[in-house]
Amino acid sequence: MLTRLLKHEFRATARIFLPFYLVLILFALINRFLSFEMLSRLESMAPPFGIAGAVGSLVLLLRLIYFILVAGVLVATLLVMIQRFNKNLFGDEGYLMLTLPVPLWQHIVSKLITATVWVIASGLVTTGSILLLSAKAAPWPRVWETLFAFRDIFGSAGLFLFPGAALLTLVSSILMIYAAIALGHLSPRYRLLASLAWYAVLSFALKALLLGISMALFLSQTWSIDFADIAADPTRINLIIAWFWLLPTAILSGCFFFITNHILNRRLNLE
Amino acid sequence: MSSAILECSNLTKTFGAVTAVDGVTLDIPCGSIVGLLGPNASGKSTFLKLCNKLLSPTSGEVRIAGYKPGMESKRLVSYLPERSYLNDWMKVCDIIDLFADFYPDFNKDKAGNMLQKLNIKRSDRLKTMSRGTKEKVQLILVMSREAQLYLLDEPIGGVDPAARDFILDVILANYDPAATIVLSTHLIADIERILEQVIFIKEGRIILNKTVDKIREESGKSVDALFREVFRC
Repeated sequence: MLTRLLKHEFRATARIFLPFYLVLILFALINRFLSFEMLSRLESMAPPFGIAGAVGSLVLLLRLIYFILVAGVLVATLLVMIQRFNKNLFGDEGYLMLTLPVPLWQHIVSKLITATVWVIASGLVTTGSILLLSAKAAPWPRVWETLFAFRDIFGSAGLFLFPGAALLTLVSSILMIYAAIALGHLSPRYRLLASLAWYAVLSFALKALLLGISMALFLSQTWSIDFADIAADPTRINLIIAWFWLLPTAILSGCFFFITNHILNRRLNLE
Repeated sequence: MSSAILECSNLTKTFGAVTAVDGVTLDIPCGSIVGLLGPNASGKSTFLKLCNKLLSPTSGEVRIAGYKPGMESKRLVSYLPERSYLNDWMKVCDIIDLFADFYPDFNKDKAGNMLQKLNIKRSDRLKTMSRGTKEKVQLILVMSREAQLYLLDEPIGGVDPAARDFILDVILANYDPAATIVLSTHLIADIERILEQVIFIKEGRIILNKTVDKIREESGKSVDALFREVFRC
């Protein structure tokens, strides 16, 4: 049933994102070919009737549209993520989705996977479009160079641990939004406002927790952490990442998931 | 397993100071068409939402074929809410696919035939349809399932009299005598002809639960006439 939910979730969201990505890539390409260098070439040819000025305005306008599109993709990713969860489960569409014979946790997981994929895709497409627009040469040698430098510091395990921790942080952030929406749903009125308030509360609690972990990490004498020693040892760096980044993020994700699932299961009130 | 498809025991739902469903205890037997009748805001929709686990009861419980509302009961129940739950961006074929994917008892041919009768194409987009047409599409989807219990909330509420006849015909044509239909409405005269049993609900309480034959025999009145008498303002 999860695969079927995913199929419908991707179908519902792809129709928004794919055209957006296509337009973004298209504008990056147009901007690349209609660039300021082309403008300076035009000026050097000293064309009549002020063509260079008109093309210059056009180039500026195209750049502006491109930057608006970049911002649009990022905002749309966030809005669609919130909208799909809120409207599809807690709005009128919930009357259909929540009466399907599917375990409720699968709704959360399907929306989480879809949102994670689109956040990553939006990031990749935006980065790709910037490269398309501005890269003078293929970026791959620089990418490999950075990866090797990274491996020298963090070891081979770090190459997997860092992206894993980053992915888990993304998952945790999405689950926090879901938990805030679900908690806001418990309010008898002004549910959207209540969700925003819950998001602020959860963010504050999360920051307090992170601060606590950092303080413990930096100040505690009981662990006798010698940072000079750690920096030279990739295994110890990775252990610190696992204990102080991965583990708390995994626990937090579990808590947010539990809160959301509990509310859907036991406290649902579609009005 | 009990012979009742739907059992409620002291079911109560409050919203703040308002009690929408107040200590409802009732059994609805298998194989009947039951009218859940009451004026606006009498608790009909709340009761049906409780049966579908879209609301959590304040106290008491409801069971469907012996199951508490959940995965098992959702397989058995085909629910038509009082509002449209269709995504406007979808085409008719998309929503049919969705139903076919999740409900093994969904009969695609039956849905296709009914849509054809209404001249609705599978490629039609829902956003181009009128509210009445959307309601009909939703009813067709719900009635194309071969479910054990149909919970229909105001199926004739927002449509014209001609469409009401179509809707009632759809319900009757697709009704399997082994299944049960619970149909909520306040438009009694239009649906009286198809009802076998009626439940009157007032301010969240069940005030009458009888077969139509018994009502006619005891009071000598039609259900509509009795409703007007009981709920006179």
